[in-house]
Amino acid sequence: MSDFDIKKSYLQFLEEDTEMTMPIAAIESLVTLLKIKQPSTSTELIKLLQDATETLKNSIPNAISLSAGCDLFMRFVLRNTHLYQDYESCRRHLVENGQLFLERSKESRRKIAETGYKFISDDDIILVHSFSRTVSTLLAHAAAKKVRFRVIVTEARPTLQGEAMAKILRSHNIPVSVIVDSAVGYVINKVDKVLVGAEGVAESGGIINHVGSYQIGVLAKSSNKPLYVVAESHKFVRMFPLSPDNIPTDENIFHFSSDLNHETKSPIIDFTPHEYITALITDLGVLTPSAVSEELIKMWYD
Amino acid sequence: MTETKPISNTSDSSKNKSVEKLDSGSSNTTTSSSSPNTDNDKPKLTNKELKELKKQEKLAKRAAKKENAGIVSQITPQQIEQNKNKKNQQSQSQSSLQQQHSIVKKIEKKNSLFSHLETKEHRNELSISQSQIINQIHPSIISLTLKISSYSIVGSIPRCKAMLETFIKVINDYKTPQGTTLTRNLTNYLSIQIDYLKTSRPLSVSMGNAIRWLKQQISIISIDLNDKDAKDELISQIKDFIKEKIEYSGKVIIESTSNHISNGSKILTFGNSQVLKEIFLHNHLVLHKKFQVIIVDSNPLFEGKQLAKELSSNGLNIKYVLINSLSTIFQDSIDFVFLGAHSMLSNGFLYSRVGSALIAMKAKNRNVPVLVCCESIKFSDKVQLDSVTLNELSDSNLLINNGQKRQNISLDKFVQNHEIKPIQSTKDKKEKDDSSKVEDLSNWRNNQYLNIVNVMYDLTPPDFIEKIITEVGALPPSSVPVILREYKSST
Repeated sequence: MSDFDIKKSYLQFLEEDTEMTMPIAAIESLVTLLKIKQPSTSTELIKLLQDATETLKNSIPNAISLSAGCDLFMRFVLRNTHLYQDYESCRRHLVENGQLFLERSKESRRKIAETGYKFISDDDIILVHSFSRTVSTLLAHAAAKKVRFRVIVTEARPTLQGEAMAKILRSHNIPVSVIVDSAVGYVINKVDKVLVGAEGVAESGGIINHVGSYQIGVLAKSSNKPLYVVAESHKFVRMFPLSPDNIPTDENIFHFSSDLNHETKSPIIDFTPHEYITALITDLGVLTPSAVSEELIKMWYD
Repeated sequence: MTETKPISNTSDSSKNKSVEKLDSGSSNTTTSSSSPNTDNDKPKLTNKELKELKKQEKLAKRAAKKENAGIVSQITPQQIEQNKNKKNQQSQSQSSLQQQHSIVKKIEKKNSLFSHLETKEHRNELSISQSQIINQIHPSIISLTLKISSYSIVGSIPRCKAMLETFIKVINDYKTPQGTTLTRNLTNYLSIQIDYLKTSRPLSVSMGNAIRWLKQQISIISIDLNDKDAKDELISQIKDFIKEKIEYSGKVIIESTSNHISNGSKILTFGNSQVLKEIFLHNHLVLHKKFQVIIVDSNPLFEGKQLAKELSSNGLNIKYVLINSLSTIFQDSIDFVFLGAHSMLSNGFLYSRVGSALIAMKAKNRNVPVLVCCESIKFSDKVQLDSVTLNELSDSNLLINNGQKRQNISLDKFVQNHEIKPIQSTKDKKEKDDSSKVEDLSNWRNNQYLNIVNVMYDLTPPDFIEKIITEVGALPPSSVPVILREYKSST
């Protein structure tokens, strides 16, 4: 990886296009890698991609949704390489299709908004956790369709992305109230629906998302409020955490200390098991959590 | 529920002949499938059986003397079973539920919760009724049948593998008769073999799946192919099937399950699952992880002993407990519960060795994730809501013989010396044993109030299962139908 830095290009993609999600940026950087490197055999190509994926996954903290993109592209490559007799056309096809893939993925958010806005009805109060492009697109679309609803956004510590979310929603003329995360239990009674995005959707249909999603899920379930996950299908990852803390991150969450001035630390993501999720609104349609593993198995064992 | 005669008369008779006679009368009512055959053969069989019976009673006496022999020595008592206890068909009839509630009142031995299930005696009868066609049965099938019925081959996967390997021999020795084709005749021929095999124990789901696949393969073999080539092709296909569906699947499962085991893990398992054993050994020997395995075991097969022996001889840290101490052992902070499977049903229920449901329930109660390791060949498209409708009844005597064996050891001597009778009854897992001695339980068939039911499997609801690990990936129990669909389309 001397003349091409996969990590740099990945970060660059993310920076250039704020609308781009992590898995897409990962795919895009892999496609760029293919364009630049021009591997001459398929073994070389696979090796190249594997190395790049590995580097990327290791160099970026919180690589879950990124790895979804990488795995998806890898799968796509492996499925297609043996279809072609001559290698050159295969590579060209990959680059072209990689591009197509990107366009389709970007398109998917619009598709989700189209299917998802019907879930929102007049006079709804919707609870939204943290920042999510898919959720904001969906809500904006619903507002554009003249649905009148109000939104409660959580502050989403420690990243405070909720503020950004509130700003976007307000810019679409949606009345927004921002609350601290610990007030979710207080407001949940008044809430009609809960919408969250996802960094990754696990095989069980559970989601990996900004920390705090799990407790919102538990609260929503205990007060019988539907919780919808809004996520693109390229965020489906082949992993299956067993508990909210069972996510492969190398950082240690706990920092026990008797030091009086010890700073507060917190994990950034958690896992919400599938039983707390009513449905997933995706570009493949509205899925139940168990349908996710079906889609994943279809994707991997065709 | 089948209707049976009241058996108050038979219960008094200790002579087997009279039992036999009465039984031949009532067997019409209990069974529909096998009775026509058995009735025709009755006079012949009775003599034969009587002879055998005497022999086996001797054997039984000898076996009873043996103190600490394991499962192997239980073969003999089982064979005794063959003849002596046809009456069992009725006497098995008391439900375990009723026993649990200790309302073993005056209920005639009918109307049982489990009376619709085929009993061991039933199967033995079947195998005798098939004795005319025994010359058609391949010797290796007979030997396999014996091995399975004596529980020297246990476990869904080992049984399936042994069956396929036997089929290789059978097909190898097979010659197509004149005037027919291999495609048509071999399927029939195999069916006869399989019918005989069924007299050992009901086929496991994996065996059923494998047989279905094999028949499919036979049916698509070209008619023009000569015998030898066709046989060679089939044999190589079976070998591939074993490799792909059993061996490699196991490897993939081991690989993906290993992620869950880390240094310091405490893992609880039940019985003896082939794939779990390999997982533990792989993590210990190859990946050099330090972890503890808690093996929970239960009456009457004590499969966990085998597992404990094999793992501990490899230097793994093992804790061996019986299922009675389950709630105590869960006080320990256990990280995972790993369960093997007999079958995964399409509604997400796990069908596995009796006791699994108990463990899964307890684990759920303690918030410990339950993982099921299961090859996709064990997936069944059946839907079952309770473990009564379909189950396997094993030899009731197995429950008693364990007691008999223990009766010779020090605890029993202690009991005899101190003349504390009630301890004996708890020892035999019976609530109601009156004040009779343990030896008297072996006479349970003559006691119309006493029913001993040895159920082999139970159903674990999907709510208790966190994750199923198969060779095609890990999935929640709700996604079992997906695997079935994909699997069916691929084979």
